[in-house]
Amino acid sequence: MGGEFILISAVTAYRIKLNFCTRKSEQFANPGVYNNRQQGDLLMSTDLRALTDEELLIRCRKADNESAREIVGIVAERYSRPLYNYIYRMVGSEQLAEDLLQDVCMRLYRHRRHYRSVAKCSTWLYRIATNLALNAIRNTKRHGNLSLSREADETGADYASVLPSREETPDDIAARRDLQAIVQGILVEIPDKYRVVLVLCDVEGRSYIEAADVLEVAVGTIRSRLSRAREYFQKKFAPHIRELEAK
Amino acid sequence: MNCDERIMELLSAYADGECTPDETAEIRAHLEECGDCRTRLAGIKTARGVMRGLPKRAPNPKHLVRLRSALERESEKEERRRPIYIAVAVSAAAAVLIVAVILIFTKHSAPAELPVVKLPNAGESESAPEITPEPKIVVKPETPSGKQVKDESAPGKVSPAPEEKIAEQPVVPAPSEPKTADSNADVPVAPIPGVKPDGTTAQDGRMGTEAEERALAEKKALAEKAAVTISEFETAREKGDSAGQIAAVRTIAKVKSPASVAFLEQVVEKGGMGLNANALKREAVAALGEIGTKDGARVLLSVYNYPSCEIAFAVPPALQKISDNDGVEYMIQRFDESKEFSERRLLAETLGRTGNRAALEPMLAAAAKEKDIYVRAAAIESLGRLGVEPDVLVKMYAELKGNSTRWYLRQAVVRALGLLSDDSTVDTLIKALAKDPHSLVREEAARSLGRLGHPDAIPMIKRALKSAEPASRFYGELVRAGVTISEDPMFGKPAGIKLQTAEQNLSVYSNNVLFLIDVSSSMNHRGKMEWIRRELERVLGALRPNQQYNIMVFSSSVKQIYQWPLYATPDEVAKTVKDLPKILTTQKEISDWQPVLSKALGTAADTIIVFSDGSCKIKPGKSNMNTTGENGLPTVKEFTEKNRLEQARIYTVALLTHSEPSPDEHATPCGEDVEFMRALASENGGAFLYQWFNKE
Repeated sequence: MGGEFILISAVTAYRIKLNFCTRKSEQFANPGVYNNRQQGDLLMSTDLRALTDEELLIRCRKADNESAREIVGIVAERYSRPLYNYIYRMVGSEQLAEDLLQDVCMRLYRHRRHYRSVAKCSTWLYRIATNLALNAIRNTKRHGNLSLSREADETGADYASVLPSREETPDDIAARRDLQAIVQGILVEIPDKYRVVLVLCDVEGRSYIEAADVLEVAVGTIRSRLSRAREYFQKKFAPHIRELEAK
Repeated sequence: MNCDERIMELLSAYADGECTPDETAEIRAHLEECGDCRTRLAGIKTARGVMRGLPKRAPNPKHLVRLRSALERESEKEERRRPIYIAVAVSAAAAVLIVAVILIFTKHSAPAELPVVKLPNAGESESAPEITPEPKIVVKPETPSGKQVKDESAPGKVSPAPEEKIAEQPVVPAPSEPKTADSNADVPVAPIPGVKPDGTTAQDGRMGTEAEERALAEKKALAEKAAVTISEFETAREKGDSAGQIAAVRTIAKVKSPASVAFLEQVVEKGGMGLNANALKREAVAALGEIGTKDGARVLLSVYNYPSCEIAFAVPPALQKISDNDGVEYMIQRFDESKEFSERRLLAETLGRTGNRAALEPMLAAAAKEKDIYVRAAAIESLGRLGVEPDVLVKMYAELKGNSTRWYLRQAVVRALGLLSDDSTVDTLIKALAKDPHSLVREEAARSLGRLGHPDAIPMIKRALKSAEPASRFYGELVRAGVTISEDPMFGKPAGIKLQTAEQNLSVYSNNVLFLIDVSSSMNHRGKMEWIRRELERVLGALRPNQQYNIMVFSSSVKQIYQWPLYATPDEVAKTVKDLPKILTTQKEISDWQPVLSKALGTAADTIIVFSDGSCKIKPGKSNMNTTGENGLPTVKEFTEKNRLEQARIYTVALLTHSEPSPDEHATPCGEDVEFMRALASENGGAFLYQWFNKE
């Protein structure tokens, strides 16, 4: 009896969570452009596009290769921008971030049968992305190519954020770009396990619970790691603040 | 205050609103007392704001398209998935092993077999001439051919036998040998497919055996080589030695074996170790082109839509290198079958560049009726590269002529005519230059006429020059074509340079102009440099493509910017204009006239335009010449005459400030430096101009 009750409440809790996720994931949804889609394709995809991420992934588990590709394509379309930004902030290299993003999508496809319906799609994707990014960082570090992190510069950023707003003078823009480059530079210098938390919580603005889900650790761990990460960041950032103020 | 780790953690959580009510109360109480923590909290909030304010980066828009093709490849591959690298290495090693086993067996049976092998030669008339090994050819054991591996059974393609068998040649005529039976008995032992145990059909099988043996030996050598290189790569990869990995990939490019292709495919997919991933992948792509087999082409085409555009860019050049017939055949087949326009376009472009005539037919078909205009244009261009009959293109141009929307195709036809470079097409090109309704087609015609180099085109080019807009690209192409055909670097008329200051205007005619720019420290003030930059931009922009220019900057030393004068084509001018800010950096030095003038007068320039504020104070001892010849120094006239190589006219533009004396000729006294510049111009057939710069 007791067992059943727990099971039911777990299911309800999961439903509630799922609803929450769906709403949350809309925030990340970012329809990309598919020009070369053919007519027949479109009909099917409008159908699929009406589904939530989780519904798509559940469908994907048993889908044949072609529809699985279609589904992965749709999910990738929804998540490629937030994921790319997340990975980029972690690794600090555009090229690497793009390769990793591709890897994430490929993993999603390869492991589509392992998706557990308990997990939220975005969590699952972020988890894959985190693991891949950390691996890549470790690999590059092991081979002494730390200069990777130095590749970061903000000139190639999204145009929308670089375009001057009306009151800004060119100096302001330059200073802002400097600042962004500095912040990115510091981010990649922070030790991995702290950086992940910092990027998730402070850059991406995730809640502690979400971050804990992605990293599969306790919320308390997130709290302490974030605090540490912030200390690291402060220590490195403080001199720059003075410098920027001096300007 | 005891701000321990716990407090810090609470503080951080508090900033995010992630504290329990109790904790919130605790930290608030703490904050009341602790100023440090209040600062820390503010710091946390600032930093968080900064991080959250980072722009949201977006991936390359092509990412999704690439993903789709990567997914397609993935699902194709899903069944035959094997572990990376090791699989390749293992299969290569396995191949070596199998080959070795075969060789052991065949070696045992070889002596017994030989007579039998020769026997059919005598009887079989059609294959006999090719098979009977001539000693001369046979001595070369290294007949390289990867294809033979597959062609074992075709008697016509059997390559000469290894040396050891030449000795046995005299045995050939012997019609029946007792050993036949032995060898027949031996044959089934060797596990080679295609070898038939019964005596009547054994001939083909035998021939196959011999050829197979050689092919297998070759295959073995290749596989061994591939295996060795792959293991070298593995070692380099483990060490993270980028040079080693690249070297291994380059070596394997010379090994035409399926194992190399499989290996390179893995490299393209997985990259190597370290930051050189893309460099290595590009190297692998190039290697695939060099191998150039069917498999190589297949992999290259699948890589074309690979995630990293850096790698995709390497594909077309690699495809162009494919020289193997079956590689090209595969590309043709893909071209016929593919439904992806981008792929068809790529193939249409590259097939022409391979120069393989086999591609001519599909290109002709595509040029005639392809639906996609880009693919069709690419096919037309390839016809030119492949050397189609000129009539085909001439007719095609005539057919497309009436249709104004088809200018893109006409342009392709005209380009193809230029690439074909057949003298009989000169009339068509001249007609296109004169009458084509679309300016870009006319431009292409000018370029093609330049490629063709036929003197008949000169009058038409001259006529077109008259009506063309100077400084347009069309004009540039006309001049370039004219220069190529007539071999006259001064083709076209010399053109004017308009010099202007606030008060004066002057037109100077020049074919080869040299700008001398003073970059001494005094030039750094009052926007003088900025004015010069704008002037140069204007003057350079108005130059015609047949005019040449060069720039020298000087202070106490001289720097010539371009080793040779450049033709003022739009491209070159654009480059120079872009570089101007860099060129015009001032030095912390005083200007010195002597070195720069001697150098400038020694060039072939017919016009020299000097920009200077003249404020190199002509101090005795410092300067090497003056206007009056005092102190034993040469006068300007003497100096210039001594150093002059060409009759260059010198124009001087003085950049003056109000603190200095008036440059008016009749006003006295005049500053010596200004006077010097005036003398420089008047002594050298030029003119003196000035521009005022007011105080900041």
